[in-house]
Amino acid sequence: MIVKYLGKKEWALFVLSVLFIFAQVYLDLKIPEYMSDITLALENGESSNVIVRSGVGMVVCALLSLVASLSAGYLTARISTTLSRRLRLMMLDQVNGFSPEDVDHFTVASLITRSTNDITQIQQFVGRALQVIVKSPIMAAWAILKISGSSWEWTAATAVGVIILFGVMLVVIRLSMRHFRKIQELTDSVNRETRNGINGVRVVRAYNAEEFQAQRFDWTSEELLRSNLSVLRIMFPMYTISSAMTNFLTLAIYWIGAALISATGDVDEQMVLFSDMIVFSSYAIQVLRAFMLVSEILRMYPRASVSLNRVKEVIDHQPRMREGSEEEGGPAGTVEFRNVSFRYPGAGGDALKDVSFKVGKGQTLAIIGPTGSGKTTLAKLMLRIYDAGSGEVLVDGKEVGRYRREALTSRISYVPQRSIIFTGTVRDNVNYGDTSDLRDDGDVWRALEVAQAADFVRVMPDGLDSQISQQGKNLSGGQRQRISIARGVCRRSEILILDDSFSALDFKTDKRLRSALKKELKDTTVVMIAQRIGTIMDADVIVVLDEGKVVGIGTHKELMRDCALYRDIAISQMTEGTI
Amino acid sequence: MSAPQPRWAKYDKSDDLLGTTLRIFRYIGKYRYRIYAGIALSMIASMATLIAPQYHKTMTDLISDGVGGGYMDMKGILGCVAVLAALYSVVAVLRSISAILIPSASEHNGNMMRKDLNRKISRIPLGFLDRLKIGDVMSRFTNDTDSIRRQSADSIANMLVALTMIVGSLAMMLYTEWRLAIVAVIPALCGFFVVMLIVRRSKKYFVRQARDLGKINTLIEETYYGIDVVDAYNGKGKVRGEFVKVNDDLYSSALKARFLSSMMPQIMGFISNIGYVVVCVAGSMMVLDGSIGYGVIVAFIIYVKEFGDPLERLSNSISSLQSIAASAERVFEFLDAPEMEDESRKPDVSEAVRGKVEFRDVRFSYEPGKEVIHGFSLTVEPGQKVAIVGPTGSGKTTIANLLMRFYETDSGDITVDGISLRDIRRPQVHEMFCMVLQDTWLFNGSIRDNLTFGRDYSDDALDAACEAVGICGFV
Repeated sequence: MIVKYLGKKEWALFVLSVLFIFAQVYLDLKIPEYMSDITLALENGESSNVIVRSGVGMVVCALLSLVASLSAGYLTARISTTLSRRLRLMMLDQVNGFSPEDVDHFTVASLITRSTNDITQIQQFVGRALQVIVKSPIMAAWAILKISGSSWEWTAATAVGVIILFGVMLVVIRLSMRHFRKIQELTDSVNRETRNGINGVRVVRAYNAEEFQAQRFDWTSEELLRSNLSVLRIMFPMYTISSAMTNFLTLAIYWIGAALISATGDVDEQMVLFSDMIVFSSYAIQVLRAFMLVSEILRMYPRASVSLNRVKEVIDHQPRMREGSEEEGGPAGTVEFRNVSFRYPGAGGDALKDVSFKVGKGQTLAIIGPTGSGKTTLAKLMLRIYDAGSGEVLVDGKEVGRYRREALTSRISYVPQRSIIFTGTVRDNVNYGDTSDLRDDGDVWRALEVAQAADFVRVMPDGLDSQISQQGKNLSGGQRQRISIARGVCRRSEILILDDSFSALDFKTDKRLRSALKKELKDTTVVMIAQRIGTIMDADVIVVLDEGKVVGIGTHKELMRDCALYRDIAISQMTEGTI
Repeated sequence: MSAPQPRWAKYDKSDDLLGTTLRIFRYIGKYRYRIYAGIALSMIASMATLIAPQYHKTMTDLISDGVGGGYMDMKGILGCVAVLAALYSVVAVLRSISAILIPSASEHNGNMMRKDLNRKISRIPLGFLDRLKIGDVMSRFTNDTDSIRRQSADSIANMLVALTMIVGSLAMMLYTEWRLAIVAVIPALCGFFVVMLIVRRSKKYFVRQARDLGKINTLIEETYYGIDVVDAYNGKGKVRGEFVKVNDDLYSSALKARFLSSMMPQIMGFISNIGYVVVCVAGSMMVLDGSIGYGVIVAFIIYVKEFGDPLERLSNSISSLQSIAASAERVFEFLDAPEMEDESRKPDVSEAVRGKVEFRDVRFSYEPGKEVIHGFSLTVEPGQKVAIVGPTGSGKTTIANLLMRFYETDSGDITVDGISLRDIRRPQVHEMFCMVLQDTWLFNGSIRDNLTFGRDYSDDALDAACEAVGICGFV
């Protein structure tokens, strides 16, 4: 399974490491041969010359063996780490093509575990396995060669030993697989709980819910402990069975030997059998030892296999949405919905019902309605975060599904409801995305100016180079929102979607921002989702949504006259606003 | 305004392997008795195997008596086989128990660490917590505890067993022939010294590897946190570029760490080969001298092997202790982060609060030198409704944060019914106020859990709350 992720270069390295391991095994076996030379020399009473010469030979062999094993070690380390590097990148590239639906399918926490923890498991397994996979067959083959031709009874006994060994291992692996799967899933949970615990720390503290949060976490942690202990209880035979098998096999060989010897009357044959028995027992142990090495690897196998499966699930996952291939659209800066209906996966009712509207280049489209009326859903369909259930969503006169993903997103700048701020400088956050190489600091300042963010950025000690911490925790809610708007402005795409992006701004800033947008972004089509009538009343087209349906469409004046819901919203806000 | 790095984010030294190992050992706490018991059992098992050769000898003698037309004492042989089988079974059982006991201590250790890490989050001041990288903290919670959990007890047990065996076999060698013993031990010690030099170098790469894993986690976490924007702005290319860089860093630190740690057993293998050569050559010279007999060489060949095996085990366990220590330092770093002051000595003011809130010349800055609240004073009488208005960034949320004591004021004081907030335990401050935060945060679980945080409320009370905020419709 893992093999298919190895590249050509790794195969070459693998072949090379096989050669080094061969050399090492050969050299290690060579050293004792020099000793028999010495023994012979001592018995014959020869001079110390032979001893020194043999000694030098032994040292040379030992050195060469070291070089060979170090080289093999380096090569296997390199293969395993290259493999894990490739897997991590493959996962990233794959997830980059995921829609939110796909990400939710795996959950963010799990994708993080899979990208680091799971791939580490695979790396460790491969690093160990590569050496053993080569070494143990060499050892086993060499030993089997030495004992072939002896009595079949002994060979049968050895075979039984090997079969029992593998039988036990197979059972253990089977039984433990389920637990390893659970362990990795619980690791996902630990990741998720940690993330929640830190992101929600203010709420947790404000409600004195520390103990509640800790207990949730403890439950996960204890569960992880229990699974790990279950694995231990299942796996323990693996730790001892191989050494026990060695001992019992020796006993069996002697026992069989005794029986064989007493069964034959021929004295010469008895002598042969006796010496065979001694030799056989030592080589049979060699065979088992080779399998013991394999068993050590097999012990690591279930966990690595579970992890590989988890990684493969991501890599082989077919994204729900098919990207289109077209680059060019029709008239730039237009958005049109034709009888669009949409239902969230797994939801009971439609989020949008038969929605139609159209907006032209340079116009401002506003979408207003009570919470849950489907405003953000409209934006998500324009960006093709989801596909419409029925009807057509057209951007620049072409169905969004026909565009190559980046061709679509490069037409639209999206400022989401929740301001997203990345770790980095103000400049990094404003001049973000595929256009960042085309914009200079002047553009960034202009965007900040439009977003009414220039004032507070200017007083920051390092200006555009000022550092913003993760999730913009060192900014206020309104500042985060304006940085996020500046990002949308800086990109200067045909269409700018502002999804309730003014909610944390005061009326004065809101107003200034709108007039700056109007002045600076004349040719940009602006789609503005808002709660406040004041924010949208100047829009060219206003769409009033209620429970996913269009209940009014037109200008402020027309809607005040014709649309009851719009009037209700307006009156409730006007009375507050005019005091 | 470059955000000051938290102290532990810069932390990158401490190659004090022994100190960290001892700290892990202390951390294991009561579970360390499992390690002791496991070591004791495996030593008993080892001693039991020492008896076996005696019976093997008897059995072999009995069989050889039967060779050459003699009488084959099958009953006697069967007796030996039975005794040996029993002995081996006992050994297998003892080793199995020890193979459960020692790793189980590790598992419990990992569980304790995870739970302590999580509880630590609620004791760290917010100002400090805000600067942490969430992905990196997650990596400490999972990847680092995992690497400690998987092998800490085994490595410590192996180290202790190996040290005992080294001392034992050294004593046997010195007892048999002290001159040859010294000659045989010198290369081993030299080799061990070399290994220790490599160990010191390899530590660095394990530290880097753990840190790079944390970086990858951070990058992925942040990308998924902002996936809407990353996707809409075609920021994936940039993310990929950064990822490739961090991924390459991780590759190079992982490669070095792996290679250096795989070198240790190989060098020890080399040393055991050299020891063998030295014994053969020096021993043979001594045989020529007539100062020792050939049997001493045979004995020494076994001893050198018995001395080399634990040395290899020792170097193996020290090598895995490197990676454990690198992770343990990251875990301990988080556990050692400064905490909010202990408030258990402050008086209990749980009796009914009237609700007079007073701000007296409050000054506050999130970062030193950047004051955001400049001498704010306000008195609110019980039952009054007060609205705080102002342009964005003017400090509205900060006032609420100070009232909740999420942060401490730089100067000035906030009092409730005349008592300074500083003199009230934090949970009781939180008890006095109910706060709805600007950022909505929900955790995955039932709606009930999200509303109640595990406390008991009647269904009626929950329904009333839902009704009041108008979410009955979708609940």
